Amino acid sequence: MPKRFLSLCFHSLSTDWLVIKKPELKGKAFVLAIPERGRMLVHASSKEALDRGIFPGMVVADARALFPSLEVFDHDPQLEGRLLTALARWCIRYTPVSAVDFPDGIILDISGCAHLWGGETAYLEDICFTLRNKGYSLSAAIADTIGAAWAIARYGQGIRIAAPERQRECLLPLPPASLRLEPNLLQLMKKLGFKNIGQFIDLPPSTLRRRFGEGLLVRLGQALGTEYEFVEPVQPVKSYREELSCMEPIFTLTGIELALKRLLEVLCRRLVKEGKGLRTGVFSGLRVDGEIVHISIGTGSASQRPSHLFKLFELKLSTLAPGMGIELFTLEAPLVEDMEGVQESLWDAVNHDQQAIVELLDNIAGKVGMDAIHRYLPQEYHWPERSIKPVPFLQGQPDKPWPSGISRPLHLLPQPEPISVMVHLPDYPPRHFRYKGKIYKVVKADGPERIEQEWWLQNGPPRDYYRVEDEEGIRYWVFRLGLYGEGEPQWFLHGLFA
Amino acid sequence: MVSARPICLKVNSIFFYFIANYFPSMDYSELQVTTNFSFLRGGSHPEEFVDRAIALGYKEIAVTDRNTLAGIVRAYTAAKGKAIRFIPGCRLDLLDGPSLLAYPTDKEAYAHLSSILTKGNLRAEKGECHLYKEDVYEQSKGLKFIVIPPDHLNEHYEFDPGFVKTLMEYKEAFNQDIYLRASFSYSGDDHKKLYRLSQLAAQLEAPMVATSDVYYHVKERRELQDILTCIREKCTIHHAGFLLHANAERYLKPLEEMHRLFREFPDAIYRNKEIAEACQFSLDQLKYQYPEEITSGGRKPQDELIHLTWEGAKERFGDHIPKNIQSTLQYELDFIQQKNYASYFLTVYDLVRFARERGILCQGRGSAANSVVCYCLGITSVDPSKFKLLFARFMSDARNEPPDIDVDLEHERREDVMQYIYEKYGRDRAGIVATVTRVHWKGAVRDVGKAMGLSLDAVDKLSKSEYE
Amino acid sequence: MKAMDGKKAVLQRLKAEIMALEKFPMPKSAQQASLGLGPMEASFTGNNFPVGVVHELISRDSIDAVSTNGFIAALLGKLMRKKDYCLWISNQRTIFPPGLSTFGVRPDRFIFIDIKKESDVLWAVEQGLKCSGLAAVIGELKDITFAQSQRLQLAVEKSRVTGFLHRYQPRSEHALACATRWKISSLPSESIEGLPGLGFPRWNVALIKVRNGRPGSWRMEWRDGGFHPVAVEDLLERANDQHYA
Repeated sequence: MPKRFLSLCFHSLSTDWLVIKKPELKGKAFVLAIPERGRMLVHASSKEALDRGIFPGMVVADARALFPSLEVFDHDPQLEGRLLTALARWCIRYTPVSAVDFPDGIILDISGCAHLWGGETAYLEDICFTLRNKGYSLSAAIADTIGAAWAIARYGQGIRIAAPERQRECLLPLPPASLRLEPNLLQLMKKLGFKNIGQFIDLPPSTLRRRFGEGLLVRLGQALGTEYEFVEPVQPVKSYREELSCMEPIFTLTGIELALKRLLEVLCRRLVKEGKGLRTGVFSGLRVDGEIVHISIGTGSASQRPSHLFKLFELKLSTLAPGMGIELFTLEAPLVEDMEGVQESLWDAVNHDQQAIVELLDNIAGKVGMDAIHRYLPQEYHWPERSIKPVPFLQGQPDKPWPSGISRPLHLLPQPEPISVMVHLPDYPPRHFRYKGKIYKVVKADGPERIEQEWWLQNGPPRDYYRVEDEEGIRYWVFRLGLYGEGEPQWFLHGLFA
Repeated sequence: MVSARPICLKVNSIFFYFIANYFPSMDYSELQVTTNFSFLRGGSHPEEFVDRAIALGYKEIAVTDRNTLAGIVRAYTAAKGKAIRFIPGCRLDLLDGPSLLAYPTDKEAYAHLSSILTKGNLRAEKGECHLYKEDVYEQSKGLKFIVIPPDHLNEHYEFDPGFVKTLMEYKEAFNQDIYLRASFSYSGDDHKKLYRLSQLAAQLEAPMVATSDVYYHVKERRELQDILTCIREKCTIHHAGFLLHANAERYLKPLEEMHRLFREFPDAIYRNKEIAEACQFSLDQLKYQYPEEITSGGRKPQDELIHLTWEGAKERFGDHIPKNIQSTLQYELDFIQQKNYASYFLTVYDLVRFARERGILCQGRGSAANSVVCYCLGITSVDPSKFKLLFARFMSDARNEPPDIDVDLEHERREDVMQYIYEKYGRDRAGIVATVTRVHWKGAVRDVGKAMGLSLDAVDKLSKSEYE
Repeated sequence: MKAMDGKKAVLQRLKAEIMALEKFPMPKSAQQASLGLGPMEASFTGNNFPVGVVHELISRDSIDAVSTNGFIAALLGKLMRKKDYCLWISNQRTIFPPGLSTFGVRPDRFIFIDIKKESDVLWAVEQGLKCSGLAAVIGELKDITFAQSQRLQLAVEKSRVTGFLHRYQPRSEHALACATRWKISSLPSESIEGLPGLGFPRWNVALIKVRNGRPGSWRMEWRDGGFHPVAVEDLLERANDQHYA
């Protein structure tokens, strides 16, 4: 069967993903930033940001100077990899051989697949349309070789599909960059005035080799089809996947549980042997009627423990509809990670405890979502809302101690709530205050603790906090926003002390 | 006098407004000022503090930089002739005890203070000053001390016992009144802290003194002061954390505000005045004390000068000194006598003579070249018979200050001359004048840019811009 | 002397057996140091604050709720060791982590589970109580049946985790299978040696029910990292205090 490849190229993968995740960002100028040597650099810019001259590689502070309302988000360096892998997996519905093409694309081996869609044009249109609908900006092309498809997808003007064995003519007008050459080689070609492939494709190979190295020849060969190129599909043969076929179709919960346990044992044994742990797991069943049902789980950190993973699946087993019975069970770990640190033999009490807690949290997250779990470390900011930062799970220990010597309330209202006060000006604590219709008489008070905004983050009036106690011994944290003499400051209740 | 205004009902708040404790005389002096001569700590120039204080109606203001007197000259100059009296002071940061604000009450005390600082400077490397309690105990006569208490009370709402103990030691060692610094930091526990301070003051008979502990002259300067902290600690503003103050209160406050803040501790304001009044030392009192010059033949300095000048004139012009030169010389010598600067010329003559004897190249320059006396003494080489000299450029009644004779010496051998001076006058009496260099504005822009987290490119662009 | 020792040993053994029967686990070390709970400790068997059990605390309004949480935090400050973690589970969390420092606990040792569906809170509490890696689980919820509380008790028997059920405005105060029931409310603070402003936190701590112990009620002040009883005279004195900056 002659080979046909489809190359997908995502123009703005990470920013598109963010807009999909946060639709309110559509049309806004924002960047994703990564830290590098103590500064934040722009990794990717939204179109609106690019329009304003904010390019990847720029320092965030500079970008902000260009456009103060720029929104900045932390970029996860593994994001593109994960996205592409996920997208590649998603593409499996179009072909079983789907591979990630770093840094911004996917290669599909579509040999023999397109006819199911009624031809390559329909196939291409379907894939592009669906992905664009999801929110991704992309371009795609089909050709005999990976190299040619890649080239046409990114640089082809007009053509999208190179007819079989016609990739050569499609390549001629394309620039050298479309051959996936090294930057210094491209510079050299530019210097020598080679603007398109046609200008050098017919030069004798020995000349090309001498002037530009073997690399150029390899790439050219790959694009033309004279050199072999292969891809590593995301669903490797050696996937973490175990199957269990049943003599009789199984439809009882007990039976399903047994099957799951069996599969978990085998899978985990393999994971342990290879030093990996499961991050996502899919347990699926092929039913008698041909339908495939499945449930999936995720873990906060890689796990190799069958009992823990079983518990996570257990929560969802009831949603598995066996129908008339399941003939084939599959357990797959689409996402695995290297297991760090602790080996079984080195466990001590502390790590044992920590392991137990991590599994507990996975378990709870399975039901209520990872978003529900919070842990905080101190942050050296005076402004109360900024004085803590959330960290994931058990990671991170405070590098500076929690501040002592300042009083903070045990309960903080989600938002400060306005109160009306009776007070001596300009900086006395209130004598009375009214909150939700009730009047409270203040008997004791400490303060003010004057906290200015961190001016480099946010501009605004300072807060004068007071700890006040009423006749019944209830201790409140109130503040005045702004100072008297600069307008009419509003008072708020922010929290309660025990 | 208490006046009540009508209660105003507003949509969001109910006000009850009256002024309490209105003091008839609004006297207050700021005794604790950190200027930018406390490098990378103070956020305003001494002149800015002085001008602002005048605008607010202060009668006195002190400068208390950290282990240095560098800032007092600018402050003194800014206050001269204006409606404010300047009090030189210093904050002594000790390695083994709480810091002390020190104010000389007279010239001798000023000498003591300078000695303390010299000691601290000599024992540390350049730019640092290491002081111990003993250094201060030895030279405390005539100085007024204010002790700086810890920033916070402990969890029992008490001062750390170590501090109390040292306070008692101070009181014993100084054998005179010591005071406790009282200020509002707006950190939430001010009232508890001041109460404890007043208890301590009563127990140990160390009265409280009010200060504002200012770092900048107006509130708006706070952001720059934060940046200075970042430059000093070599971090960006995003990582400075608790190195920065939580609020912007370290500025010169209006007098009524100071009285209002200390309404429960009027004694603290009274003591503030008391110290200000006790410190009557002014830099005016420093006059240059000229060392006695050795003269030959037991002549007085002026006579010696006259002798050497005419001798020199003969050497330069021969036996027939032109009439106009003679009259100029006479004029100059009279003027020098009138101003009593003969010794100074002799000193310079001596140095030049020493240098010439050793074959060290030297040359007088600058306004001194306008003096025929200097020409005759061989200090300068501009021939008055060839050029029209303007003595008034060099010395005149209008310039009411000692003359300035700059002598350039051969670079490689200037050490020899310096050694000669040290030997002749003693290491205790001779010193090299230090210049305080200003950070060039390009460097300043770079430092500020770095502290703000900008990239080198952006900073470069900024520093190249035309803004001056 | 030897006879005395023998007697002591017998008593210890008997004590352990009785406590085991009553499902009160003996403290992990034979001689648990006093937790600094003051007169409250006399209410418990062997003067030991019971751990590895589920405590119930009821608050009737949001003010009692903060005092109750403060009390819980203070107890945790005594119970938690350096490497321990706690779970704090609630439906609408108001705990502000820096405020926990006042009570001698490190806020980063708490894992907060903020659950959207109230019905899931109890489930999460049970899961947490089963996890022996934790030192304690605090669950803020409203209602719980006796049967549910029994399950929780069973869970901690195996795991030795200490549970705190903070019930906020429960519909009914029926009996539960918890080891104790408390009600904490706020008391006015006492000026410290004449200092202006607030004094140390004070609560009225009522131990309404306790298995194998004596109920009691105390007025306690939290200072110096411990509970101190408040003398009645103090309360009379403070009648007209108006210290106020």
